[in-house]
Amino acid sequence: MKRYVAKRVLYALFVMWLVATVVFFGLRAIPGGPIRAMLGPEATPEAVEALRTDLGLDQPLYIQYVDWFTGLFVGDLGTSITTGQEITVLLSAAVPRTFSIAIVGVAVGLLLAIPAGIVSATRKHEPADYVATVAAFLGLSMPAFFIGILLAIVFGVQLGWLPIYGYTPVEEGAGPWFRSILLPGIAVGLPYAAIVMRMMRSSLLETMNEPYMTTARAKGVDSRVRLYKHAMQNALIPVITVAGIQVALILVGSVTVEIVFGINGIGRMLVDSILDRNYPVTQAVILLVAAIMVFTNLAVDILYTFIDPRIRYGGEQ
Amino acid sequence: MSGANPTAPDGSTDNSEKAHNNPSSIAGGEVYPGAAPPERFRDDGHIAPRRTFRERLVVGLRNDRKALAGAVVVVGFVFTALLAPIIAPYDPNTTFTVMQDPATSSTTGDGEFFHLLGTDSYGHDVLSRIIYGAQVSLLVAAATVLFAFTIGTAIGVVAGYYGGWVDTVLMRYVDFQWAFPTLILAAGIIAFAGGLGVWNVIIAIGVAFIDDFARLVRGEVLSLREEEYVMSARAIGMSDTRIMAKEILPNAVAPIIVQVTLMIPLAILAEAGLSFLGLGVTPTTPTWGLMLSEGRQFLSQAWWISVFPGFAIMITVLAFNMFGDGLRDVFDVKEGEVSDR
Amino acid sequence: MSSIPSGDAADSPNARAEPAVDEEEPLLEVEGLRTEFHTDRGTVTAVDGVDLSLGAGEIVGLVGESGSGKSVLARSIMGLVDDPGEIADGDVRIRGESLVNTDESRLNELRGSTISMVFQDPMHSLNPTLSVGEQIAETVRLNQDVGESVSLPAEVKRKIFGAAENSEAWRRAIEMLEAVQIPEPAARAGDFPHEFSGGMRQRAMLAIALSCEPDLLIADEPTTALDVTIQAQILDELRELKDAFDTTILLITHNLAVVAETCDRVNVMYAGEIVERAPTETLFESPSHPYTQGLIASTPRVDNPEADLQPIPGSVPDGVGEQPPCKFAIRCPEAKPGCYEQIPHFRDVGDDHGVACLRRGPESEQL
Repeated sequence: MKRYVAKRVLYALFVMWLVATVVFFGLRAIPGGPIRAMLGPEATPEAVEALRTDLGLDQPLYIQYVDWFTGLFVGDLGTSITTGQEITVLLSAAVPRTFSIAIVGVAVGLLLAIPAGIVSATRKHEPADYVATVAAFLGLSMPAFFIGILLAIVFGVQLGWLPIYGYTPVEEGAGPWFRSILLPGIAVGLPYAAIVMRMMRSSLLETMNEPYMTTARAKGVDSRVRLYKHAMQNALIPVITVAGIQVALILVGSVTVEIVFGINGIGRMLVDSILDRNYPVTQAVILLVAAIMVFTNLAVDILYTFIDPRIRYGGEQ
Repeated sequence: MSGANPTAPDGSTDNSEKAHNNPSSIAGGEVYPGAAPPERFRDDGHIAPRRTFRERLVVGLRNDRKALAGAVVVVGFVFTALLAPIIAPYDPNTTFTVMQDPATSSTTGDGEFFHLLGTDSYGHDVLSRIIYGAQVSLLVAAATVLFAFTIGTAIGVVAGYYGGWVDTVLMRYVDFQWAFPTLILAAGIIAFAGGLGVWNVIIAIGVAFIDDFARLVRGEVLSLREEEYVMSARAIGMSDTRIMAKEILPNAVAPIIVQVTLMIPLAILAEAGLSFLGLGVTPTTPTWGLMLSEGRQFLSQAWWISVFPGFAIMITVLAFNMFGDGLRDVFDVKEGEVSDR
Repeated sequence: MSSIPSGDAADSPNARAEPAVDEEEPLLEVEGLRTEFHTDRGTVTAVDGVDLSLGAGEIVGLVGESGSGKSVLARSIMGLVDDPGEIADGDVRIRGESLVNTDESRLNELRGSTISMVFQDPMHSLNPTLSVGEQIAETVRLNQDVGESVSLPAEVKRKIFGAAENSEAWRRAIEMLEAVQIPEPAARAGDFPHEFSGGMRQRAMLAIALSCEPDLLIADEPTTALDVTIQAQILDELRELKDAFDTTILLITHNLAVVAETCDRVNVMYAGEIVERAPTETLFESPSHPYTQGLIASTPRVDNPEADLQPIPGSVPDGVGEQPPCKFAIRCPEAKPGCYEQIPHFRDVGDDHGVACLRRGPESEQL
């Protein structure tokens, strides 16, 4: 098992290195040069030179590369072109916001998806199954920002129960904080729930057809014990994979949902930086997102070792 | 005593492919070791009781109401997109009264104009813009999937066929691309490509979809290679190679068709997302995502500006998903094989 | 003396005309069993009017090719046939108690304790997320009174934390592993199935099945998935366990050699029907039914390796649609036109030797 974990960690680090390298070259590959793109066609040569030196783009490429990586290790991601602030500072304000939404999203997603998937599989072809399946389809077919808009209209505008704009940090009270992220969290959580639920359903159905389930039945084990003791752990294995991978969906959802609800998370940072051509910020956010993806998948892989005895206890005699 | 009696006394032979009585499939030659059986117990030499590929497709789809409904809407969507100028009540850029309620009429100097879905903050008729928006969605989705399919398939075929280090390198790239969620990768590409516009959007989203196709096609190529070995082993013996080509090849292509069908709604969603963020096609073209973005500030006064385009997205994507799901069931592709991320 | 009612199911080709040899009350009686599957190609009759009876302490073989319905028969006996299948007719009785008309909870009581089953595929018949010991201990807990709760919460707790090592059920599990000759049973009980080899897994399955000393063990192709050398070991194992636990075994296989080696009596099954039954030696020395003869002729023989193999032409019918009265006739070298008109009822051709063929026995028809 240790070898398995070590392999996965190394691989994750490798991918991160690859990502950082690609991002590095991506910036420098912008047609016309990043400086001109950032400053616009009317920029004076002096301004261009000044920015070039500022960003260290006048150095030889390999020095830039080394600087880039050392910067990453130290936590120096550069400064924002538009505001001059350190990007790390900007991120430290934005990340908690996105993180809050993501937590609610994952929680809502899993709390809905897993029971729904179980019910759907155990009552296959009954009304409960159809309702759940249709709901899953709908969840997959609506973009997160549309769900957000609908929620905002119903719960914000019409019913007035929840705020639809702005974020309240935790320090100002857990209640207001939660109320400010509940709707965005649900908006990103529903498409996620849809995918996880479908996987739960299909995985459970497949597990119930395995020969060892017949063995259990032939022993006289009753149906509920068969479901929870014999089937669930096996069925959950692919579900965990999906739940990990689809964190991507949560991040993507967050980008648009933050705009809907006016929350200045990393999604907002990304979009603004692209529109402003604030490339150092764009770079940093993309890197961060990739890092989140890679390490979430790593976490899922490690979680496997606890769930699947075949990995925990190695191979055959 | 052993009767060789291939045709019935009245000279008829039954070659229909419908599900039939099969007391024993003495294949082909129909030589019975003992007395020949009466007509109704006879086998018509059917080799495989399984239906042909085409039959399965037609029958399978006919029985799946969900898939049929999806197919109908998909066709409707395509027609709407193609015939937009004819179907739309008004030009999408003509302005009427601003923020007119749905199902009411606006009055300007030239007369009364009915707006089924109301007007937006500029006074444009929402219904017309939605209909024209279908054009953009269709164009972008089709072009994107075509792009991703072409490049992804090329990568997958090369990786699967040559194997070795070529395979490893290409698959490392595919794995690496996995670290980037679609929308974020697309946004990044647009950022670094230096601007907005249709082509950038197509390429940006298309690149994001390459990994799914590459992985899928590679898997298919690998399993086809296995089949070849099997085929040459069997060629010494019994089977009809032609039938295997007619069955195996379509079966290998099936997951790819399903993948294409399921990628289109993802492309529509991605394009809508980019437009919503202001990173999509140029701001003057009516696209559904853009309409949602424009309506965002007016949720309390004119909710319909955002809601109707949103439903348009939802219905179209839902239709493609239901149809694609039905196709997947018909072709019997497991859920894990085709990614619907 | 006759303990098996003579067939009032007059259409069944298996209606016996003679009383059973066994003088005691049979342990298991299958009477006129018909199991159907409703598929979209039509209704498939997988088991078509089977009569079977097993006495205490014997090993009875059930031989047939794939598609003969033998596995479906086994599952029908255990009550494991689900949608789209159902038992359409007939009865199964264990010690006189009908299994076909009881509810699931009574069946659960009987399963594991009175009737047990061992399955074909040891690779996949054990749950990969439960330790082997736990899979045995669970059976013990369910079917015997060892003072341990089998409620849902208790089971889930056991799943997460493992069974209590000092519990009676766990002790028994280790005993069973020892009985099936797994080395270091106490240590191995905590292992997971993937840590066992194929042969060991099958032994573990035997351990599970026999842990509560059932009266009847149904073994469905227990050796098919194993290497030949392991096969021999498992068969020996089966015989020893039968003696030790005094269990009746119904051994289902397509492998004639296994039957010859292990069984006291044999039933030959074809297309959902029993076509011949005899004591093992009799069956191999003087097979009567053309199908049996064909099976034996198509088996490679160690004592005559150069003999030509005579495969039976054609293949097993798929059971859809109208069936001829003798299902084998179409492939039978001795078929006469009359074979397609009359049902071949079971008849005696020797001591305890019955066959369902119109052209056999003192009553052989004019065809």
